[in-house]
Amino acid sequence: MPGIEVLYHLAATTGGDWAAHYRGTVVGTRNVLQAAAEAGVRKVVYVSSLGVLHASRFPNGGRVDESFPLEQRPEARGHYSRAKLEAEQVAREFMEREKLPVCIVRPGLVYGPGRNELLSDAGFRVGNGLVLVVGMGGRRLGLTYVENLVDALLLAERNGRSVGGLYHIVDPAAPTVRQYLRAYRQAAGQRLTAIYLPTFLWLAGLGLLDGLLRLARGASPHLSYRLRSIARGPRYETTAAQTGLGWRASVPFAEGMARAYSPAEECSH
Amino acid sequence: MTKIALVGCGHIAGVHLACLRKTPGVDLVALCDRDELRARELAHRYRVPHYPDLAQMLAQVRPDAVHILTPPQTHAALTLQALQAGCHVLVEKPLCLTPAEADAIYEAAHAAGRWVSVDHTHLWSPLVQKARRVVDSGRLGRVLHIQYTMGDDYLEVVKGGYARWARELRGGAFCDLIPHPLYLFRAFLPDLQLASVWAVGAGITDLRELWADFAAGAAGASLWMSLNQRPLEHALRLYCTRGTVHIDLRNFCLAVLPERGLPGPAARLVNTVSESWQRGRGTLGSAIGLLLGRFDPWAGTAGAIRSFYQAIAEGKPPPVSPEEARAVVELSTAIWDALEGTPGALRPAVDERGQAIVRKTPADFAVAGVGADLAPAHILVTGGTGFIGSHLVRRLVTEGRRVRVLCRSDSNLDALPADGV
Repeated sequence: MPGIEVLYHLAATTGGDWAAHYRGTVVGTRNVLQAAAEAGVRKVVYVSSLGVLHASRFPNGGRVDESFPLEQRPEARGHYSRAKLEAEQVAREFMEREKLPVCIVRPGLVYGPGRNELLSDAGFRVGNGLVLVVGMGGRRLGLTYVENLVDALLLAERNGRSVGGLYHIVDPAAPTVRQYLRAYRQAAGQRLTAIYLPTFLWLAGLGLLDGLLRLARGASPHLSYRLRSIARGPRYETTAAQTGLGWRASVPFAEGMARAYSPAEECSH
Repeated sequence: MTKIALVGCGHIAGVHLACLRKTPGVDLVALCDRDELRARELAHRYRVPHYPDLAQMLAQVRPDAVHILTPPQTHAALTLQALQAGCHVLVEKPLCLTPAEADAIYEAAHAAGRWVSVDHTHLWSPLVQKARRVVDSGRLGRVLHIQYTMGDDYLEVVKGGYARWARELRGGAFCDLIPHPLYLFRAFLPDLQLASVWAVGAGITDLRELWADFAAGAAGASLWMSLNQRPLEHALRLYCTRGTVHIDLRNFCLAVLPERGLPGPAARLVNTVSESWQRGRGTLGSAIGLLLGRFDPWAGTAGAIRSFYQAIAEGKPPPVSPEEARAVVELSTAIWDALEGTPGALRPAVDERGQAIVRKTPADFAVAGVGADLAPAHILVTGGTGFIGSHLVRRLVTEGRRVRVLCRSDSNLDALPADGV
C-alpha cells in the first residue's frame, strides 16, 4: 500500500464456517495491519463491535463502558463475534508490540439507509407482518445511526490523541424495543404486529433446540447463550468518545429512522 | 468393518460424516485435507487423525475406501491415486470434468478390481424414488416432458469461502450443480441428447442463468438454473400422457396428479384440492418427521453411501454404473462445449440501458489490475463495499479525499460512488 497514510479497517467475513471467518477476519486483520505497519501508515482506525463484550453479564439497565470485560465464551457467540474478538486482540497486539498507531471503535447496532431490515436483536420477523419480540419490549437497544458512526470514524482519524484509544459509539437515545418498533412502523410505513414473548420462554425454547441439535448434529449452536447475550438492555456510556474525540450524535433517533427507510435515500445492497 | 477415509473437509464433508454415522458396517479412520485449519476442526470433532497429504494418508492408514469430496477439478487425479492404493472410491458429483477423465477412472477401477461410484444424491431421495415407482408402474402412461427448475444462492454461499474453485470451472457454479438435473432426467429418459443451450453470464466460468433443452425421441426435457431467482426453488415436474408428478425437492413434497376420467370442471377441482392436500401433507410430514428425528434432509447422500457399501459387501455392481456416470459427464461437457462453440449462446447480463441485471462483480467494471496502475490515494478502506464502509467512503469522497477500497473479488460494488474511488 504505497502512499497510503490512513487505513480504515472495516472488513470482516459475514458468512460461512469458522475457517472462513478465521481466515477472513482474524488473519485478514493481521495481514492488513502488517502491511500498514510496513508502509508506515500514520493512522489506523479499526472498527470492532460491541459484540466482543461479555454481554450475558450486562447489568440490565445499568451502565456499560469501555472497561467492561470481554466475552469469556467466544465460541458460544457465533463465528462473527468470535472472529471480531480475536481480530480486536490482533489489533491490540499491533498497538502494543509494533506501536502501530491504532484507534479502536466499537459501534452499537448500526442502522441507516442501505440496511433497512428490522434489527434481529429486537425480534424475529415471521412472514410479512408479524414480529416475535424477544422480551416484553422494555429492553433498551444500543443503536448507532450510520452517519453518526462515520462522524466518529473521521474524528478518530483526525484526532492525534486517539492513538491507542478505545471508543464505544452508541447514540444517546437508547430506545426501548417497543419504541423502536413504533418508530420502525412509522418510518417504514408498514403494519407490523408484534407478539411479545417473555425472555424465559425464548431461553427455554432455544435451550431445547440446542439440546436437540446437539444430539442430532453433535454440536450445540449455543442459541440460548446467544439469546442471553442480547436479552440485557444496558445503557452504554460514551464519555470516552465525547471527551476524547469530541463526538456528538448529530442525527437523532427519529430522524435517523426516517432517513433509513426513506425510499429516496435507499441504495441497493 | 470397512475402513473409510474422507478426502476434502469442506461443506459436504459434514454431510458425509453425518451419514456415515448411520451407515452400518463402516468405520471412519482418517480425514485428509491440504487445508490444516479445516481438517483440524473436523478431525477434533470426530476424533480421527488428519493428514495434509493424500499419499501419506493412504500409506499410513490403508483405508478400504475413500470419499473424494474435493473441488471437481481434482476429482480425477485423486480418484486415480486412491484406486492405485487399492481403495474403493465414492466421488462427490460431478465425477470429473471430461469423458476422457471418466474413461481413465473406470479403466483404473477395472484394473484394480475396485468399485467407483458417484453421489447422484437425489436418486435416493424418498420423493424421487416414489416418483420412479409411480412412473415405472405405467399408471401415468409415458413420460412426455420433464421440467427442472433450480434457483440457488450459490454466490452468497461463496462468501464463506466454500466454492472459490467454482470460478475456475466451465459452467462456474453450475458445473457443481448440473449433474442433478442430468441424472434425474436420465432416470426417466435414458437416451437423452442435448438439443440446445444458452446462458447469461460474464464468461463461461461465471454463468448466472442457464437454459438447456434435451430430446429423447418423442419426449423431451428442459432445465433452467438460476443464481438470481428468489425464493429458492428446486423442483422437478414430470408430464406424462395420463398424469403429472410434481416433486418439490427443496420443500420435500410430492404431488401425483393422475388423469381422473371425470368431467372437466370436476377433474380440475379434484386435482387442485388433491395437489394442495399432497403438498400440505408433505410439508407437515417433513416438519413432524424432523422433530421426531425420523426425517433426514440428507437421505439422498445417505442412500448413495449405504448402497455403495452394500454393493461392495455383496459383490454387486456399484449403484451408479460406469455408463451412467460417464453419460452424465458427457452431457455436461456437451453443454459447456455448446456454450463456448455457439456464437450468441452466452449472453452478457445487461438490460436495455446497459445496466447489469444480475449481481455485479468487479469483472463488470473496468478495474485496474494489481500493481503500478492504481490511481494514487492516501486513504485505504477495507470493507468499503459493505453497509458502514460505503457510507464512510461516500463521506470521504465528498470531502475531496482520494480513497482506495479493498474488497473481495465477488463484492457487490453498487453502493460505492462512481468517482473518487
